[in-house]
Amino acid sequence: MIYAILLIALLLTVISAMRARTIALRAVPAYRSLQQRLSEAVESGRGTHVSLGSSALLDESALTAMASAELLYQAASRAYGGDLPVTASLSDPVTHCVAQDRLRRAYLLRNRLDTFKPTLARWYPSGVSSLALAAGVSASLLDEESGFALLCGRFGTELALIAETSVRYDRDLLPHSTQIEGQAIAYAASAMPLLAEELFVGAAYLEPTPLHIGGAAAQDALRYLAIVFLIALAALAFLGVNL
Amino acid sequence: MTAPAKPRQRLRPGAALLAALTIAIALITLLGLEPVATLPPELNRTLSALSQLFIQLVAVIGAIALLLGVLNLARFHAAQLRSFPRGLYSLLLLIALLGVLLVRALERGGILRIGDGTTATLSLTILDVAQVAVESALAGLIFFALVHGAVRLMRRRVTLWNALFLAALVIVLLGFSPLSDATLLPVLREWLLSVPVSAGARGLLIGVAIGIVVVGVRVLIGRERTFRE
Repeated sequence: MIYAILLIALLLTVISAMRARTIALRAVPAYRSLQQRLSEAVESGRGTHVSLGSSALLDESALTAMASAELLYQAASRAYGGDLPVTASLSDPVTHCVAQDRLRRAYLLRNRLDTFKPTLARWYPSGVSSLALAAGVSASLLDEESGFALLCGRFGTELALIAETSVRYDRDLLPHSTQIEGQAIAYAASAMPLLAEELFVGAAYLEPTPLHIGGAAAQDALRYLAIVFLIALAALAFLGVNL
Repeated sequence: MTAPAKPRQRLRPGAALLAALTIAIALITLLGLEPVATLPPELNRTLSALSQLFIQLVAVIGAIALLLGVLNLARFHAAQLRSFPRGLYSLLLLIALLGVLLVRALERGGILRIGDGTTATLSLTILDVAQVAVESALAGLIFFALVHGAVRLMRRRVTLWNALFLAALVIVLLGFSPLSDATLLPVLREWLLSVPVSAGARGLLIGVAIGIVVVGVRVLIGRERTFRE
């Protein structure tokens, strides 16, 4: 089953990538506003903080961690020119190495490697429910004068604590979570949150190469396939067909 | 401040080797974890053993990364000591870190014995008293943050979806309250949780799973940033 799904996804990605020029991606308001929000943070002399939550390379959220790290790279490569550097936080030690690497690559891309320090990516020890991370990020937003907080990856209800700090101290917030609880809080906390699966197509909107556009189109196509499949199953069940 | 420049397309031998290794290891691990019935049983057994070996190696890497994480944390807070009063929290953190490390080392060495001496009683007690208590207190705050978020949502702009969010929150919270015994609220709460909430949650999780598959394909064909640049 998993091989069939992977094969379909691969075929859809490759076919869509070949036709990337003709594909118009659906609008994702959060990505449309990301550049402006990063610019506002830079122009107000404040920093940007990107938190990857408890996304971890060593468990089932490995690919979420990879997608979040990509968004960290995109944000850092856009906000590199600020007075204050872009900082990152997470609670998985292996993902911490990836976050450091992405920050370094972003600064290298802009020839600002002198600004990069390994401590810009911070590890906060915590489990799946990252309350220590939430406390650390909340403190970091205030201590380091971060004007914009991008929360992407795996967050549970602890996202509410970070969101509360952001709103109370007038920090711009773009939240996201692959967890149901976190996503619900993200919706309540922000006018323009990033919705669950939108994290995985970030590169298609921020660095639109044919493969990234192909991936985003394949994701949409797979979603429609899943919807059709579910409706068909429900219709069959309604008609009394037992599969 | 502009979008990142288009990445260089020139193939670097190091990146190509890294991509080849990653693709091979990913495929072997996948085949080991999800054996293909049409492959010979002997090959499936070999692939399974190899995938287990890779997973064990990853666990070792995780332990080393944990050490690096602790060092990074200590390094960052050591640098913070220069500023006051912010440095005070960093000082507390460093003292706590060194203290717990010392206690654990003494326990492991058999110098510090509390109770029957077979379990690390003191370090576990420190964890329970400090970490668990503080995390529980923080968890208690989440309820207020949620309600505040819902109210703020309505103050910002009243839309049908915002009103629905607030109504659902109020019904679920009141449904759990002791007052709910005499009303229709528990039934409504159960229906909300088992039908629309459950359906929405599954829809969201299916979306995430599809996104993960697409990113997985990108990694499997070696088009992840780590291998490209």
